[in-house]
Amino acid sequence: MEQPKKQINRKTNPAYLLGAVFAAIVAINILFIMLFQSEVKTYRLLNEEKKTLDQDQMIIAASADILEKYQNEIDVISGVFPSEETFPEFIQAFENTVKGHADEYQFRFSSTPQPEGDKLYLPMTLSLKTDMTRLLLLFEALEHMPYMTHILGVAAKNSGGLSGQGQYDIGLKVYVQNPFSAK
Amino acid sequence: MSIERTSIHAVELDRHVRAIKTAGTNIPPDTFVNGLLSRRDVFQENVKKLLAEGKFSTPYVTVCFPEVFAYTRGCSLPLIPVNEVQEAITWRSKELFPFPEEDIYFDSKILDKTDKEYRMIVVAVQKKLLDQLVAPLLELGLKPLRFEPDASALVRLLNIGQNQHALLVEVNPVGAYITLVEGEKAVFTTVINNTPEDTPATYLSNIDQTLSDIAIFYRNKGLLQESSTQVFVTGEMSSEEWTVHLKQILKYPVKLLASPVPRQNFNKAYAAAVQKIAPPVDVYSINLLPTEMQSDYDAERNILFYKTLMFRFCLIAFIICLVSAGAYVIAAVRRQQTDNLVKSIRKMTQSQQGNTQALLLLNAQAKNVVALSSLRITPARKIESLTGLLNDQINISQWEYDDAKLSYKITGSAQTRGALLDFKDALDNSADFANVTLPLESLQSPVNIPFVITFIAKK
Repeated sequence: MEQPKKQINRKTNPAYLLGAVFAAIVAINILFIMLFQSEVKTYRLLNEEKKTLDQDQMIIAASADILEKYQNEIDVISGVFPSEETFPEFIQAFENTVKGHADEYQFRFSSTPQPEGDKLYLPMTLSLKTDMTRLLLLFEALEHMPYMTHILGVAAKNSGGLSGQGQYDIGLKVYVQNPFSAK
Repeated sequence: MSIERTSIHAVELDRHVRAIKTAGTNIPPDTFVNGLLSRRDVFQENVKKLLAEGKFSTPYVTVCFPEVFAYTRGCSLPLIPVNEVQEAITWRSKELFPFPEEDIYFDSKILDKTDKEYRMIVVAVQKKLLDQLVAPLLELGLKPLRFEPDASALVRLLNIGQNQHALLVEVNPVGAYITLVEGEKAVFTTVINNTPEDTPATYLSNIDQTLSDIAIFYRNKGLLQESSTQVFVTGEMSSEEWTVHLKQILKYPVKLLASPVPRQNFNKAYAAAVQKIAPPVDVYSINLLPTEMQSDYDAERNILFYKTLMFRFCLIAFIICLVSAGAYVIAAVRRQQTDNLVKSIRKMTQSQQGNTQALLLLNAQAKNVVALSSLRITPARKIESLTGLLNDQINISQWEYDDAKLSYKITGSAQTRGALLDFKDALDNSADFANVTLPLESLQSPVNIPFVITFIAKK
């Protein structure tokens, strides 16, 4: 005799399957929420960056105007601090200045810039034989050179009196670009 | 669904208990032998035919089978908690029925409750009878929810009082059943078979004779009072003529059993369907459904409940997921658009950055120029001023200048003390110098005086 019990089709409880589907959907949902949050966060950051870039654009536009308008002045200011690349030009200009105000001269400089706050300088030593008049003219010429120099000290030996011929050792700094080297 | 010896009838009811679909089919007389299904294939074929004819919309079915194959007993139980009634009846079943407990399905129903006891009926059917019905029905995709004897079902249509009695007469071509009914209880059923040897006349005569005998028997036992007894006629052969005929024989009020289904042979199916379905454990109804099937249904219902619940959860979660996905896609698109915009602006900015950097560098250089401009000033003017302070009696052989301290140190010789002092005074009085120091020993000699004099330059 057949038992009725055997006739009932006992299937795997689909609620478990649906539970698994539910869990999967919840997990996907959480993933989407996290992705959404991430996207929103990125969007906000990008928006902030866009604002900054917009401001930069305005600055750039203004910069272009300024650069165009004050090109000559800018060229002068740009040359005040020689870089490693333009330092030979400085040396040439310096030598030309000194040459006209001394009977004999020699100078030495360090090739390694020294820091001074946020600025860099190269220490130099200039030794020359000249008289007081030409020395003062040299000083004035140095003041008018399109470079930033600073005389640290002077040691003089005047065999012919103060205004006569003398041997001068001058310590000075030449301020250079920071960074000095483009490498 | 009513399963009879030679026919099967089915009625589908709507939620307002209106019969919306009916179907009936005859089955060969040898389909059941002594209540046991002997031709299963024929039975299944006919049920299939019935289902096809009725086009029923539900697989759920309540089944009634001939009363003669069931055993109905009255009993009483002391007042015990209702949830213990079923167990108490289990213990009583051994003495109520002539079969071992494991060979029968039984269920009980509380008919009445007095101050001291429950009055109950207990109905049983042999497992072998019911199991043979259940299996083919399940195979056909039907889901039986209740089994009960047909007279028990028909009794519900009689609407007689608890202490009233009635005779329910069912007349069919193959046999007639006469059931004594007390209130809601089918007490005893007598069968009159229409055997092959019988002619229609002898069959009808047998019915008349049996009815008369039964009526006399129960009247003598004090059960069928003239004032409270009714006779109901049903079955395939029932008709108004039968009611008139029986009224003459029995002297009791006789009427055709009425149900919303116009045809008499659907009365049982309607009666089976109209009763609210309750599981076998319910003590206020009869349901002979095997308890294991009920457990399966309960499990199935639980599964369905959780399935529906989880489906709804899934649906809600899916909708939320769609919203999240939509929000993510929108955010991603907006982010991508902004990213592209930022990239283009950044690229443009980087291409134009040179100007800004140049300007920034220029700005920094300009600041440095301003900051360092004071350092560019050489000691030329101070030295020129110093030259003006010398007189011709002073001879300077060497001098030093320290820009950090703005200090001068001059070494030389003076022809006279007076000239040296004049030089010192000139320095003291100069607007360009201060803190002039001349060691006293330099003043010891009146003439040709070597000296070292120090002073600082005023800013």
